[in-house]
Amino acid sequence: MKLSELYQFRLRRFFASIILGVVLLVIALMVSLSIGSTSYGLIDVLHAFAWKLGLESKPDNVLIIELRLTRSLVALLTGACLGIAGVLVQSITRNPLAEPFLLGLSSTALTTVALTVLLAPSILAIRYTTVLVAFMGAFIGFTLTLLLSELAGGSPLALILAGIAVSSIFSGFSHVLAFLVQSELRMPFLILLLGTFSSSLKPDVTLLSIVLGIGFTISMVLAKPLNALLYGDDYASQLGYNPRTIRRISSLIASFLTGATVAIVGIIGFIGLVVPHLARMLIGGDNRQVVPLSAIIGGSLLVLADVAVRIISAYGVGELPVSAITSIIGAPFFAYLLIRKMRG
Amino acid sequence: MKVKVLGVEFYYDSLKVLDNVEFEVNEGELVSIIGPNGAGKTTLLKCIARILKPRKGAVYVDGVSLWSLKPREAARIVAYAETSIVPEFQLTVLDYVLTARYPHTNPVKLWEDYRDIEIVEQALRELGIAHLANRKLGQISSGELQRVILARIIAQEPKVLLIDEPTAFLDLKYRLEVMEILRKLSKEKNLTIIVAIHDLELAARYSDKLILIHKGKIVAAGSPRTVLTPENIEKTYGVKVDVIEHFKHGLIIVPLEPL
Ligand SMILES: Nc1ncnc2c1ncn2[C@@H]1O[C@H](COP(=O)(O)OP(=O)(O)OP(=O)(O)O)[C@@H](O)[C@H]1O
Ligand SMILES: [Mg+2]
Repeated sequence: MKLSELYQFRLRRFFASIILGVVLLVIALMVSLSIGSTSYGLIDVLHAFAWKLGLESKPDNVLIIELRLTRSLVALLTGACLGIAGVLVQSITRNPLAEPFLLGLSSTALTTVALTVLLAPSILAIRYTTVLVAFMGAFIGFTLTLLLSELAGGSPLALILAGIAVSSIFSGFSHVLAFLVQSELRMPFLILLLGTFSSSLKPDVTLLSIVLGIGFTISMVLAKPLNALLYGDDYASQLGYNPRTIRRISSLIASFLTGATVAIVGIIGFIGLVVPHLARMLIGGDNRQVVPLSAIIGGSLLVLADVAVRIISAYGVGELPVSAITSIIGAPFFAYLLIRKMRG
Repeated sequence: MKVKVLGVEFYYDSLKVLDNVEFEVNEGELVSIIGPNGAGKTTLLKCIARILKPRKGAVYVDGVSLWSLKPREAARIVAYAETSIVPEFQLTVLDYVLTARYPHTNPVKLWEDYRDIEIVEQALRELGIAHLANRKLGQISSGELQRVILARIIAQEPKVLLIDEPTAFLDLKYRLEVMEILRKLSKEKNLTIIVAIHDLELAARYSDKLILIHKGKIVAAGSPRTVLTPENIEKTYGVKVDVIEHFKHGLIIVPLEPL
């Protein structure tokens, strides 16, 4: 095969995966819109869309379907943000086991948010500032993990263990703080810790879209430098990139994406781990392709996880946190990667 | 392009690794840096490649200090080839070699041009590894990986090539072939090539000039015959040797005993 054909093939494979991903995403959204405590199903959803397109008169269940749409969109955007954050974190640490949640970004973000609720609740009246507070928290968490891992020798395993140390400390703090602030936020303690889409509002969709837009754009510009960084710091610098700068910008963006999801939805683990690997299985390791595909796969996966949450919640009281589902799927995957990595 | 290394001094923390290293390499020359393990060969190449910044001294390429250039510009002039890469994330040979084109393409342009692909293909063919393009980096032999690394540095199209141990993992045939390719590149394309190499006979046979370093200092420099004397080798490697002139090609070095 000529090289140009191989290159073309890879591009075609990429675009085909993107199209496939979008189809999967639309199906996931349709399923998600058709499920809920009321009995409106897929037909009602299609009627609502027909009305939006001006084809039909307004059906009377539009409000409920709009609520479901908000919720599903928040799930989609959250998944996309976490998928991209996963790619960034794995690339800069060159560690296939890395993930925002495992490296302590999420629990530190939640800690700073809860701390702000306690100390200066007025700051959090605006959702944008909540996102900024969580972003700072996530960045502090990531920096702590990287420092600790450096002290512990800097091996791939040291990084993961450092992440577990940092996230354990801060999940302790955030448990205490979340317990104290639950009355203030009018949200049960557990839900705050584990993430939910049940309280999603329309402004969340706007806010997450902006976050995703910024994060995605910068990640695409970073894709080439990150590709270079995969072969080592020296390699990146001989190609004319500054490895420290790439690392710094990437950790800021990963923290921004993760922090925003923690501020708006809560902690959701393992999406950032599983999604980039799924993307790489489909199209290989080129970050120019992995970043966009991870956004789409991450979105679809969380929409489906939310469907599972709603189905299971129907059999209980209240709402199951979505993190329960992502852990059940993600942790075994982590175990599999761990075995593969450690055996070489 | 002419490379001029002037009074270079380099430290890892407080450990002095290069001490007042000074030499010149002319355009079209193939020069080998030799010396025992830990002598500072890799460090020297990295200083020239502007991966490491010397504490004192400077490296000039055609009279211009590399540190005064933009990093991307410098990457089009000098390129460094490492001894090995640690492959992660299912990356393929093509993924790796494509990165060589990054310094030549606009940073915001996402995909390579047809021309970039042609250059990469040409480089892979030159090293006889075009058939490996779609293979994972973790699933090829060390010798194949070494040729992949060489293909990458060629695809980067630099004027000055700095190559760390280009023949370490190669078999008899590819050792000769790689050195032939490097010599051809230096002579036909007028490139400046500096390699760090442990195989003294290969170095003697293919290099225009040898630079022998020991504990960060240049001990001898010049034509292979003047550098590879039994005294020099004994002094630096700590091995007693006989140096025999082959009737046709280069030198034969017979190690007798370690001192
Ligand atoms: N990153 C580093 N940090 C600290 N010391 C280093 C580092 N890299 C190399 N050194 C030390 O610097 C000295 C020169 O190392 P260098 O790698 O340049 O030697 P070399 O001539 O390439 O050796 P070899 O033939 O084994 O490749 C050695 O004493 C080595 O221990
Ligand atoms: Mg070396």
